[in-house]
Amino acid sequence: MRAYATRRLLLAIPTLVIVTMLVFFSVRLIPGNVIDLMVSEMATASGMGEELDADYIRQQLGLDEAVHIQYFKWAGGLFRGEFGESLWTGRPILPDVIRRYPISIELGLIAIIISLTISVPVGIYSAIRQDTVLDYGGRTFAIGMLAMPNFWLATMVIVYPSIWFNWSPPIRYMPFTEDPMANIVMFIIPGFLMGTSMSGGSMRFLRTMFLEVLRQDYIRTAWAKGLQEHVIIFKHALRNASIPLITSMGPMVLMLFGGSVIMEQIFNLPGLGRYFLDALNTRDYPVVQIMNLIGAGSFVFVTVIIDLSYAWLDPRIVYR
Amino acid sequence: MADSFDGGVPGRRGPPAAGDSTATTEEAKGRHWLTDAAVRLVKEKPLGSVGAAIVLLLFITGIFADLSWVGLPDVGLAPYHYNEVNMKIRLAAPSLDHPLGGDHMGRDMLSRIIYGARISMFIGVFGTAISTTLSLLIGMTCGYLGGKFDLIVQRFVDAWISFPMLFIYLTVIAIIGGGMLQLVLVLGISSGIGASRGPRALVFWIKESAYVEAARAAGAPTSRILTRTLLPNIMPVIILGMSMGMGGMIMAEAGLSFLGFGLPPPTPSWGGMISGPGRVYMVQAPWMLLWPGVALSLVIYGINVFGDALRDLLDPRLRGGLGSYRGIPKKKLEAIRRKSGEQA
Amino acid sequence: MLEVKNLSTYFYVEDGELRAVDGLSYHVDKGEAVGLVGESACGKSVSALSLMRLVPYPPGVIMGGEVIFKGTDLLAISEDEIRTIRGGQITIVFQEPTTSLNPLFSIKTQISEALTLHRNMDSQAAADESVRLLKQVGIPDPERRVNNYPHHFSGGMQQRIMLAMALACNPELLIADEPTTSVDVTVQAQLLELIDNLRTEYGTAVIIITHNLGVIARYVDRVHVMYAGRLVEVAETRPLFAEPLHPYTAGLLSSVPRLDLPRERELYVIGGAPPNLARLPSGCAFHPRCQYTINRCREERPELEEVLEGRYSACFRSREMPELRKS
Repeated sequence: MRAYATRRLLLAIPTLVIVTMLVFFSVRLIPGNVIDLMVSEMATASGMGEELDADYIRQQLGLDEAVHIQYFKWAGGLFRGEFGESLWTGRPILPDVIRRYPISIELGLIAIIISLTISVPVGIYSAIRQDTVLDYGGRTFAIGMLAMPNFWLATMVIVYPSIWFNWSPPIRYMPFTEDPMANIVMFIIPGFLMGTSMSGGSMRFLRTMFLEVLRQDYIRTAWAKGLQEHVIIFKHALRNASIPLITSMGPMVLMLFGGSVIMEQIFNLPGLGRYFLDALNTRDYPVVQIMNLIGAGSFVFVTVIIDLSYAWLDPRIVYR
Repeated sequence: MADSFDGGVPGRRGPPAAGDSTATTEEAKGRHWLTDAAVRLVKEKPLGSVGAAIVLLLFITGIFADLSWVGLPDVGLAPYHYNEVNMKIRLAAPSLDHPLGGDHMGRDMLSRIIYGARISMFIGVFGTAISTTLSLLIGMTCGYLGGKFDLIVQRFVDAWISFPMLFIYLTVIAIIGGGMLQLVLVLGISSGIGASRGPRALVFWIKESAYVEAARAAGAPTSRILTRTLLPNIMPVIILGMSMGMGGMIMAEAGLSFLGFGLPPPTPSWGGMISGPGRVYMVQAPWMLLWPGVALSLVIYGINVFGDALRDLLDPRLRGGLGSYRGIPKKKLEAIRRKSGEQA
Repeated sequence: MLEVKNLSTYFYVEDGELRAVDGLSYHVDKGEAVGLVGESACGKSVSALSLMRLVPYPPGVIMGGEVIFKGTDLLAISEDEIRTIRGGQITIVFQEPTTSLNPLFSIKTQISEALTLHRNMDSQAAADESVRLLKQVGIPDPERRVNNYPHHFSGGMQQRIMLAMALACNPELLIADEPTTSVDVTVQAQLLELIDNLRTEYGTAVIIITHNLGVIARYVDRVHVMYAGRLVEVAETRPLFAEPLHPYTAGLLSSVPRLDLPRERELYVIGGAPPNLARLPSGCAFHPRCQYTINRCREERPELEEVLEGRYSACFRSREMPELRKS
């Protein structure tokens, strides 16, 4: 077991290294004239005033020294928790990230819970009643969910109730500790929207996986033993399908990142997605870099956790 | 014996090569496999046919929005040019002249939606084309060469797919700016890298396949092995990838335009129409927000449903499959027995 | 104890209506060992699955007939009722033990399931009984190994575990579907001996499905030969081997390589290939491959008739067979 775990962790390292390199070198692609543009744009608008000039920007972006030296300096800095400073505000990035992380996590959690609550029962039901009206209904519903752009629905959700009921979602962020009810109200709508739009893809995937499991010989053996249908489904089939189910959580994390950018913007939540978008709009590249790093890094982290959980779920792996 | 090598791969449903012994029904022997698939689509998968119809509609609308590509910009499906301003219909409700209303700059919504179809079609087609080509290139090279090359490239691919796609799109667009060409390239290349794993896995599978070994032992030349094994198997993968990928591309472009990182106005991108003016004028002119969203939903829905049906048709392994051991309800059983009795 | 009357099971696939089982009738008495022989894809496995109503739908449908087990027609009773019989009174051992065991559950769990369901045991009693069953089928160190998972065992041992599971509830009838096909020869012999011993000890009737005539010869009292979904010959083992009355049976017997004949002799093969069950030949299903065909064979379909006492055959020329074979 330990061997498997260490091996899995070791495999993740080259991926992470390449991630950091990609993130770092993406900045180097910025055409020179863009830097000058940044200077003029930002000097006037940001709070940095005169200190902001081309050289300063270049230095902040790490473009002034030789490539490899800068890379190692930057990567080394990451280890020490030095995430650099925002070009826009001049403040260090790390505290901002830490402040905003919980918001995106809360949003993501709600989205995942809702997504699973919808997709698991519908997916399983669709699989065990394959090709019935309900199956087609379930699949149509799933595709419908993923076909409707969540930003469209979100926009409509914001405006139409304000026209009809004179109500709009709260604007000011309320931390959970201060006022749980207000907090939930604030997050539930974007979370719900994100969750439902994700549930479409999940449901189809689950259905396919479940069908695959139901086709196996050991399910036939279970029937031959005279077990009842619900035992076969919820004990045998579900257990075997849970492994691919957990696997699907990995890409879900990526979808959460993407979704959070949109949702936080529409619903005015001060999370990481919002931070990222604002940084993009102000060409605040140090922040953009760090956000990309967080996105990819989270995925790698989650994937490792998922792989390790296989060992717990599947006795065959431990044996190896 | 090398002549009778049919690729032997289970589940293939591609163009049957000459001398193919696996043609099923008598009728199918005479038909080209494309027509066969089309007929089966309509007969067996009504929902998929609806999807196909929607996709067809998208293409027709997109191509024939106007005929500027043959030098006739004033002829076409769109009643007005997408940028044609008529202040009288500013924020006007739907009417006979303007069935979908007018937007905040006095442009006909119907025409803008129609031209929007052209945009989505472009993005979908070209983005997918680039993506598919790239994925095949990378995937097959890695699969074929294997070894160190594969190892290194795969690490890169793994790192690439660790990024949330939207993040990549946004970052790159932020650097190089928006626009049709940039968008198509970014969407195409990004998804192509990730999609390379499919063809790569296929090539590995073929390399290890016993059928290929047998063919080699029988003396079949590599070219024949490739055409009989690789091609028929890669077709369903490609077709499916393309059909699903197209939906994703269109949605991605819509999202990017929504966030302001896609196609700049006045380009009639559906996503762009939803954000910006759509939101601002929602109260006064809700149709500005409604139609683009409906169009997007419809198109992506159709693409996905069509793609699903296509997959079911092309991959016989998934067709029918094994049902349940639950038992058949009495009424249904009797119906089946009666039907069989009548045929006998 | 078991009487199958006119059983028919069809599969609805791309090719059309596949008649896997077409009017099958036979019986099994208490404690008997009966064999079901035939080539691959002749419907023998499907017929066994049909007894227990384990035919997946889609694509399979049990079209008609009766399966009278201890006075009750199994095809007519409700789902709940057949469920109590499955795994308890009629059990089946499948061909591929590796895939037939759930990889994520321990052996103890999988055997106990049947015990708690049919014999109403509590978990401790079931656990103890599982150990005893493993010992009975010859798994060494059963107390420890009962907690292992399927992948910890070899193919032969997995098959024994399947057997243990099948016998856990003292069934009246055990169906062994190609019990030897996926294991090697030494294990084959052990398994069959095991089944035989358990049969005599518990009085369980056994239906052995196989294409291996050697298995039939030694372990079975009566043989049913199947071809294209129907029975073509039924006889007791000895007489069948001594004097087959159906050309197909004769062909099968001739195909067995023999050590007592000169090595240079060419191996005998029944010409042609098994028919497509969706498009059966006219008349007798075997006639395209039969060396004794006459015109009648092409036009009429022969029924299974009692040709001699206790011997049934579905061939118009059965009575002539002894003579025909000499020539």
